[in-house]
Amino acid sequence: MAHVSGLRAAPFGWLRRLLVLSRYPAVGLAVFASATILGISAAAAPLFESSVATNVVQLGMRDAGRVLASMTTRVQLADDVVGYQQRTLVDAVRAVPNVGRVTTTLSATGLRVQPADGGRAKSVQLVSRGGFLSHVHVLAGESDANGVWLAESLAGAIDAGPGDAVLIRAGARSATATVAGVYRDLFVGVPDAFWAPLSAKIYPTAEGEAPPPSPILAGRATMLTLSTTLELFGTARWDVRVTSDRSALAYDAASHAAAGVRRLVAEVASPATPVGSALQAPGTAAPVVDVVRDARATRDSIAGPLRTFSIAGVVAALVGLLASAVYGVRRRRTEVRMLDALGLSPAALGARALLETALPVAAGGAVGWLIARIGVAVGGPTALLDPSAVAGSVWQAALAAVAGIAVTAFGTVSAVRAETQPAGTRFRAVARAPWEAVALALAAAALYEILSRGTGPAVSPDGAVHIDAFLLLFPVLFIAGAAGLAVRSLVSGLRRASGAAVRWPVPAYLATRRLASSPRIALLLTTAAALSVGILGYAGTIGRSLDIATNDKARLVVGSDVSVPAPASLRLPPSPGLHPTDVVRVTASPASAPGEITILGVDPATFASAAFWDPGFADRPLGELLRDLGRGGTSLPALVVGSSASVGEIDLGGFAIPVTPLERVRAFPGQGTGSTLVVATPVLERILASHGISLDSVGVTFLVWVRGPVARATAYVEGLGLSSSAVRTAAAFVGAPRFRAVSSTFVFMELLGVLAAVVALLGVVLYLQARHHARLVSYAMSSRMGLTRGGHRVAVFLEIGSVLFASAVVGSVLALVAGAVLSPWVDPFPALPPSPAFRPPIPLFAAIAVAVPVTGAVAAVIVQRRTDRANVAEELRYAG
Amino acid sequence: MRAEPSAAAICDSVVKVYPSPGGDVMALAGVDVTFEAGVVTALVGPSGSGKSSLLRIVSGLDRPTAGRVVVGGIETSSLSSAGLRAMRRQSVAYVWQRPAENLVGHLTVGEHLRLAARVRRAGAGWADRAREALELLGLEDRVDHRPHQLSGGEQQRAAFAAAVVGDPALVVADEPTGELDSASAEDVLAAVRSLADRGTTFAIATHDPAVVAVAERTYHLRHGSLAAESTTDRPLAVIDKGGRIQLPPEWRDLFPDARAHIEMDEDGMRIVPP
Repeated sequence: MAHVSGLRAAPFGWLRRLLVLSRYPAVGLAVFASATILGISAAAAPLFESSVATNVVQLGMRDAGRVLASMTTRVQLADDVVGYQQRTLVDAVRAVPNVGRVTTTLSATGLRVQPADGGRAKSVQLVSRGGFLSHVHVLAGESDANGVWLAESLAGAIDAGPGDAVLIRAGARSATATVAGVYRDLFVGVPDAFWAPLSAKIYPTAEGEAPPPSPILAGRATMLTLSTTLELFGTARWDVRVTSDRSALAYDAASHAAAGVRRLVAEVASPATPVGSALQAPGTAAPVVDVVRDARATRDSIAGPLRTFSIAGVVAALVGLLASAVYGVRRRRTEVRMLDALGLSPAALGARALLETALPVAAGGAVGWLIARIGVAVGGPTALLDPSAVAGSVWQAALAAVAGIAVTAFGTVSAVRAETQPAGTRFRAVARAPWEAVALALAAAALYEILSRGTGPAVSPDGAVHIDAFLLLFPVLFIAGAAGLAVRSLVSGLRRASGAAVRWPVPAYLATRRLASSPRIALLLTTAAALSVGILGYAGTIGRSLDIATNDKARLVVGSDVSVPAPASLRLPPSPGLHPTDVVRVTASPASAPGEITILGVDPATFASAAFWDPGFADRPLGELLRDLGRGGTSLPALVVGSSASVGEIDLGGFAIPVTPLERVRAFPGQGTGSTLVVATPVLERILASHGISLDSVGVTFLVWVRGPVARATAYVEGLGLSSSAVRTAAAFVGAPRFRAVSSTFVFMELLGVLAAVVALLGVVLYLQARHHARLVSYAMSSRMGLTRGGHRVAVFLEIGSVLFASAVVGSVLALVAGAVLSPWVDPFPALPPSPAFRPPIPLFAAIAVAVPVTGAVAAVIVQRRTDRANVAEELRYAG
Repeated sequence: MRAEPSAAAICDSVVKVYPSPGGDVMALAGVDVTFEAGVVTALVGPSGSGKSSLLRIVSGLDRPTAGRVVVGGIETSSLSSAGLRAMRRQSVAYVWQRPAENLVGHLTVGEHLRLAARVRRAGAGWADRAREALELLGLEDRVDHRPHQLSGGEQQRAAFAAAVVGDPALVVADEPTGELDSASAEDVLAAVRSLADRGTTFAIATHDPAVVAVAERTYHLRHGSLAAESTTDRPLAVIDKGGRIQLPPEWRDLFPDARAHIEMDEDGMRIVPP
């Protein structure tokens, strides 16, 4: 008999069942998109946390010169002694994970050097550090030459160069060494991380201190030969460095290294162990332990908000899958009704749906994980992630996908029940329910908590700043609820407009009618797009307000963009685009009260242009205040900062100097809100001179402040001969982990906003797909009545564009409202002015304004092309 | 209720009330009908007379508010939802009015038949019987075709082919020719006749006189009650359990006062206006 094969089970029929949703692209796309969001939401948080923690480790270890731990001991600098200690230590550090080389530094101080043929002697220190020649700038000499290396300043001072003999003295003993070469002083130029552990041998340890004696660098053999001759006792230092493997700086790897270092430090401290016995209670430092602690604190501080978002995203995605399942049943109601009439139970139908949706959900979950992985690598603080975080994110995405499949099956079963029951109007009732009221009520509760409890960023004992979840929940709930209500009223207005649209131009009429004919889809799409715009706008608003406030606070603490100590009052040459000023700081005693007070001397001529100033710091403009400061006579005019009591007289250099308080100001650059008297340096100098003393003699610290781009300002102070390593910048202050924790939270929120925008665009695609058939029929009919292709394209543009425009307007307005309400509450340091102000991110909203018509136009072109290619007769026939 | 030992399905005093916001609506007001095995039974009546409600109840898709329903020897009125589904699997097939509603877009005709066989757990010989049915319905060349590749008449015949897989006790069809042109409708009715001759029982709701012509028995429903019953021999008025007889609509005009005088004599009963 013919066609017997048609009644037999087809080979790979199970595969067709798995791919059956490909025949319902809108359903398949909805499931896939929801599962993608599910995967992103589940996987992004652990990956982002890992990225943030690893970034803190990377920066911390960079600052520490990649040194995990250091051991320092006083020792006789003899080959056998140092060699024994080093071998014992190297044996002990093998147990530390991710350990690299151990760098040995031998140093001796209290030495003097002079040319062998006599001349001026200079104080020096003798230093040997393994591999040093790769980390100095050689000015003269050959790297393979034997002998000692002199710093440029020392070589010039004693007039010695390569090949010359120098005499090194230690007390009564002396030894002659050949100069192998000359290197640029280590404090000049950009600091090399190699020398970071020896910064105390290179830079002054405190403001105003003289720099340490110039280091004479030598190879280990030369050093030990000299020290044996000179019978030197000195310091042996071992820096246990992290391996050069990049992955060793991931948070997990660093944590393991920190645990190993803690064990090593304990072992070294114990005289009962070989290494403890050999090193004899050395001084120890474990930078990696501090770095890991900072990283953990930072990670913990952002974990709460991230997980809140993650859970919100997962819930939203599950709701999306539920809706997709209901939509799928509606789309396939013929099949459902037929199978129900055949006697299949809702559970059996759910099982079929489980099988059919498993593949798109799994694929969506995998793609979501991949997007999260790539997104965090590209948009996160660092691309280096912990393997455990990656594995954890895979697990979370997989678990979420399983939950997604279960929710889809549940949704299918419920929808089947509703579809097969005559009185199945419950879903429509749910769709009509005013869910926005619930969201707004919860938003109001969150706002009440914020306003009444004073909820704000809290600083934990470890110094990390935590963002309260209410600051994140309120805007999401508020924007979702208000957007839902606004869009609902827009849709009801649309219904009324569709009646009047008869008199409008044809494209506008068509667009209005199409939207009015599917109000629920329009409602859903507009609300989703408004929510995404709202989240993006809110995160951008708060992020910008926070950035500006944090920068202002940092500049208040530093005083300007750059601050650096100077050995004396310097002439500050003008430089285009830079505004320098010199400042002096000294501690004085109030004559009438116990304790001390800081005196900050400023140059009234240059201070206003160089220092950071916020009008909220004082009741009068800074210019007026500075002018008054410069009008001193025998009394010293001063601004009183902070809560210090008025001071009538101060004791400075043993002289009582009368003070005339001019005005109390709330904060002052370089001092914050600390108790300070701000005076004019020329007036102070004049009064001191009247007592026969100078600024130098009262122990002032000289500072140079520069306002301008940090790189140029740093180059400027280097050009003054000042050490760039001592430069304090506002940017570095802002980059501290405690600040980054706050800003990272809002970066993550912005990423979620972008994600939500992508989802909204997917919604547009779904909408276009869902309305494809109706649009095709309407186009076929309208074109017979004279509608042109261009007219239809305009109609589609108006249809999509009006949805996106409404979303952009509603979302932007709500984001600005939420941002304006909450901007002052997101303050990482409320005690430090200025408070964050409402700063809308104009470029972001401009980008949204541009994206709306562009998306509408692109959609219109694509739809028109698709419509042109479609076979209308076939579409109508297929639909029955 | 008449005792019908060969009945495929029996409805005894079936009442169906639908709740609605405007108050309860009585769709069926105590209907007694019997669907004899191997017979094509037509249900006719104006829209809203209760045809579809009766079909949904007899096919186990809905429950009666009161009354008793027996399908394939199973009393369905007291069955649980699972029991009703099992009854549907074993005893009933349903064919809807629109051809597109009876077939799934992504399945071929053969796959529809195989799906029905699997759900109904049809025995080993189902494929042979299905092939016979396909030949009988003129679809032997359409086994591998999907619905959009078939005409409306072919789609409806394919639906009947799937309906008879597993030999259910009753095939219920709700206006199966309602959306077909006359030629396609004739093809479908020929198919129904052929299947009935093979022993399949049909219950068909219809407005189509052509369907009534094919049916051996026709029930006329009006306002949820059985108004009349006609066989191929002659029409019969129906006396309900309260002793009420419904007059055909065209006779009601003879009684403008809605009152009648009944006279009994040796030849029978006469109903005359007062």
